[in-house]
Order: sequence, then C-alpha cells, then structure tokens
Amino acid sequence: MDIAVFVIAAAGLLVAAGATILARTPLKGALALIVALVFLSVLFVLLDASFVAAMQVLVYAGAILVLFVFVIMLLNLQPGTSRPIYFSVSKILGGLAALYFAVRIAEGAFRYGVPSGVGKPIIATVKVVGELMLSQYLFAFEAIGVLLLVAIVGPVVLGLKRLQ
Amino acid sequence: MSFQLLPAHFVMLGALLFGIGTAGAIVRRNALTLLMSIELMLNAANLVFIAYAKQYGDPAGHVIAFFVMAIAAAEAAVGLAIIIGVFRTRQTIEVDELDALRDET
Repeated sequence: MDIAVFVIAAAGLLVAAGATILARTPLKGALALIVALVFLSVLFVLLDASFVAAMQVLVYAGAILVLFVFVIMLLNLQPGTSRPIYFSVSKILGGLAALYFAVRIAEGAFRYGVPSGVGKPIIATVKVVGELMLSQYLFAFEAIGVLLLVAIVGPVVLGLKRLQ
Repeated sequence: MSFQLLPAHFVMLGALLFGIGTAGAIVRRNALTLLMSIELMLNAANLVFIAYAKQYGDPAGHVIAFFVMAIAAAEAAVGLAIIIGVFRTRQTIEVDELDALRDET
C-alpha cells in the first residue's frame, strides 16, 4: 500500500517538476509546480509528517504560488515577446552536469548515505514540533521573523515609484 | 522478502528533484521560471530533511523544513518584487537581455 502510494506520488512529482521547467509560458509552469507541491505533500504524509504536509499545501501551494500567479498576471507578458527556448553549448553542458550531479547524489545516498532498515516511529504532532521550534530553535525562529520583516519591507521599497 | 520503502528511496527522489531544479535554473532564461526552479530545489531539500527525520526518529527535521519554507517565502517575495522592478524599467524578464553590466568586448 505504502509502496503504491510512493510510486504514484514520486512519478507524479517528477513529471510535474519536469513540466515546470519545460513549460512554454510561466503560467503553465506555475500550475505544474502547484501539482508538484501537492504530490510532495503526499510524500510528506507518507513520512509521518502530516503537519508539514498541511503547511506545504497551505503556505506553498496556497500562498507562494498564488504570489507567483499574481505576478505573472500583473506583468501581462504578451506572447511573442519572450524568446523561444534555444540551445547553446553551455546550456546543454550545464543541463547534463545537473543531471549527472543528481544521479551521483542518488547513487551515493543509496549506497552509503542512509542507514538501511525502517526508522523509528516519530510522533511529530503540532505540539511536538512547536515546542521544539520555541525551545531549541528559538534563535533561528526569531531570526526567521526578522528575515520575514525584511522580506516585507524590501518589496515595498522596491515597488516605490521613484525608483524608476 | 518483500520490498520495503526505505528513507534512501526518498533521498534518491530528492536528488532527482534537485537535479531537475538545477537543470531548469541553468537552461531556462525566463526569470519567473528560474525562481520556480529554485523553489523545486528548496523542496527537494525539504523532502530529504523529512526523510532523515523519519529515519532517525527526530522531529528536528520538521522544524528545519518549516524554516526552509519561510526562507522560500521571503525569497519569492523579494525575487518577484525585483522581477517587477526590472520589467518596469526594461520591459523584459529574459535574464539574457539584462546585460547592462556586461563588458563590451
């Protein structure tokens, strides 16, 4: 049962990720990315991370991707203004390097990286994760808060008219 | 012996996802697609964090995954604001055409 879910979600994730980077228009890419993120949240549920899975759908697919789609609509790119995909030697070499990198990581992870056997069951409820976040990782939590404040102020400054 | 679902499988999937994101960031020249490729790479890292959290029975990986999500949100907000600013002055979001700092040779 678990394996069937894993195979379906993994295949869907890879196909949607490929569609994201190969999409002809950014809007189609964003929609494919939403599909990929939902499949990823299925995998999170499979890994006993139900809270992270819920946040994945709410924050990622719900908020960040809506921001992407909003910006795509705001820019209102006319078809034909963007150049079609073209290939150069550096791009082909770069793409091949990226895929080689991925295959080597996957191979290494399978051989050496992860101890075999089934892991201990963890109960990662909201309570457990929240207590950890506000005790051991309190400094990182506060730092993220400052970072998000900067991420709010920054776009406002960037969006001011006088920058033009 | 039946086939077991190991964390290694999730790590391999994360590596493939990261590779797809890297390839997209290298090959595509549209700034929006570039940002989405970076989101894919961040999500691959998240998947590996969660897989290791299960393997070692430690919910700290979940906390880190939240931090990655928050950073992704900040990155998307700032990156999209920059894209809008570039589009307003240049009327393009193709990163190849942003060559004002290129050496004229």
